[in-house]
Amino acid sequence: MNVITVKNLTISYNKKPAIKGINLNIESGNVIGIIGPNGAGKSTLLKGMLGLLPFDTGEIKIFGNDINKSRKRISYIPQREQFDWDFPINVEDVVTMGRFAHLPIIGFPKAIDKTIVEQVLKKVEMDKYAKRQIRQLSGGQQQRVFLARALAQESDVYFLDEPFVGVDAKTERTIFALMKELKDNGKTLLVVHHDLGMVKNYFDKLIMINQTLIAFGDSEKVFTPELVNKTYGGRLTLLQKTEEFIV
Amino acid sequence: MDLLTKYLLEPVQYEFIQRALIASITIGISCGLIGTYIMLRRMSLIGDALAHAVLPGVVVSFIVAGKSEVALFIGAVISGILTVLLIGFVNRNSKIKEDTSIGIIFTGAFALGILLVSQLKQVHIDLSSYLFGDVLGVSTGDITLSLIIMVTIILCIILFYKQLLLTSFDPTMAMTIGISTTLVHYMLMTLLSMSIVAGLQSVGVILIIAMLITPPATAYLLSNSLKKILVLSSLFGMLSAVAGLYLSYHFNFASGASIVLVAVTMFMLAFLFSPKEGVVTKLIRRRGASRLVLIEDVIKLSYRFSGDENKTELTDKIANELGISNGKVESAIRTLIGKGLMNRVDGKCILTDDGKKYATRLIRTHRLWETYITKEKVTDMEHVHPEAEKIEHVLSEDIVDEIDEELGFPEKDPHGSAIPKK
Repeated sequence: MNVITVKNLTISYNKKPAIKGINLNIESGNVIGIIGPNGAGKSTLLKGMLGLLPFDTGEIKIFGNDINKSRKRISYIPQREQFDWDFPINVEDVVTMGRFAHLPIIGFPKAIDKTIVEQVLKKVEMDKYAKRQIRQLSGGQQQRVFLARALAQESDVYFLDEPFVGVDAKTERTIFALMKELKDNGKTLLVVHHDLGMVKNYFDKLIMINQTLIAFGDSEKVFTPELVNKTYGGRLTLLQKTEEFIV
Repeated sequence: MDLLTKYLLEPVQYEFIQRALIASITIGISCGLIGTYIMLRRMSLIGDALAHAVLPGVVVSFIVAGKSEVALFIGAVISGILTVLLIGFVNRNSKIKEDTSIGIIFTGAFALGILLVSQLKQVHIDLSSYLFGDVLGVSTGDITLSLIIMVTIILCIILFYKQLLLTSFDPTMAMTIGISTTLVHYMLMTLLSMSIVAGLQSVGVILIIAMLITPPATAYLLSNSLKKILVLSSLFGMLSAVAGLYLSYHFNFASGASIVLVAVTMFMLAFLFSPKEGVVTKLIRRRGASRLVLIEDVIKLSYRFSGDENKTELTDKIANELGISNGKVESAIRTLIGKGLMNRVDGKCILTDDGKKYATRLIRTHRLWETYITKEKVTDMEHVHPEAEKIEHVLSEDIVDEIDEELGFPEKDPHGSAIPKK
């Protein structure tokens, strides 16, 4: 079954296309890496699929529906640097946010929500730190807390933005193991990734992007020197060149 | 009746003081609560802007309806919301950044208010009481209004706690689960305008921003929990408003200014002496920490040296090794003897059994930590030693045991020295 269908998606910032004419059919039960150089539109694609950015053309369906009908079923793990780590909030409170999607507009977390929060904290081995303020954690621990928050949301699709940046070996193992477990339970994971080193180990499929879609397919097949070169090589793509003329 | 009771109770017999007290308490709570979110969302500037921008609304309401609290409330809130909309409009439709557009719009609105007051002679608004506040001139209508405002604010914060929390901490996630950040923003702006209206009469437009951000900032220095900050912040707001009122009554100080100065004094106290973050507290703690490092270094070295040295020789050797004065080493030795970690025997300084245990524990921590950071590639070998040196004084025994376990109870450290067992 198709989890996400993207048809002819174009998103621009200040009239400059960040991604252009993207078509994707994503099936469930996969860990999919989104790779490409800086400024290739990886995060834009992710945010576009999450319905966070207005798009110029195209269509996105999640479980065959408009994104607004599937919000409970998707969760997003943002890049770590976007947070105010001094915010007066502890680990447990952050993870409880994952339950907000399931609560009515006016409604408070119940016993069942608290149990789920405890469970996911154990799963990422952060239960000991439940009452810690988030600044007082290591980078890897912080990443695991946000992973736990996504797990608490019990969604079917997980969007992760650069989860492996600046984490320790233990966290890397935890994230990897969780990705595998979620996949085995039929969940779908889309992961923006920067480093080409572990690509084949981490991802079943790859979306290779540099403003336009360069390739989409099984990692084994598309992670070839030619396609990597096409994605990363030559700083100026054709699209960027034509833009220079248009602008 | 002693002097203090007289000082506190005497004013309360007057009805205008009773009104002022109730007004102060409600304003302290309203501003303290809303201000917490204003601070966390880094919107202090817009708070100040709104406080000024309600003036034209206040004047227009006066022209239309005379002195009516309801009209004043409506006028002020409308003019506040219009200002927020206008700031957003300018910001979105030009390359002007938000802080600049805030500056332009609010000063414009404020100037318009002043101009209206100065031109319309039939309006007898006492401008200075709006600008600087006059808590002693609060009317019964003002009190009803600020009570209603306070209840509304408390209800909204309780009912929409999760929306306010999530949009403040992680607006992106709020959007992904379908919470409208725009809607929450405008709700907050409406509540902010309301709390400003409540504070107009007692603190005045110029200083009301202090009531919105100073008590929350004080609370923020004292706690890491949002709920506690909300409670503390209303408490501090209340305290400063009431204390300011008394100062104003007894010494005839301007009420707005006294309230704000009390709030700022409380902030300075927290800034200097807060148990976790205080500047002075940290200084004292650092002193204590460097003293601990000295004492622990002296134990370790006494353990390493043969024990045949007399006191002077030992002091010299240690001072030489650590690159510090003999006096410091002697004072550390005195402390060690005082704590029963060291004994004077025939002019020599010998570690007691407890002292030896202490030293072994330090060495174990040091060597385990070195092994750990080498294995986790935290840093390369040449830098290992100084890193371990710094951290061995702060690692708790629990953490050391955890590291030991994680490493699989190693026998030797990266330099090949034996790691003492627990």
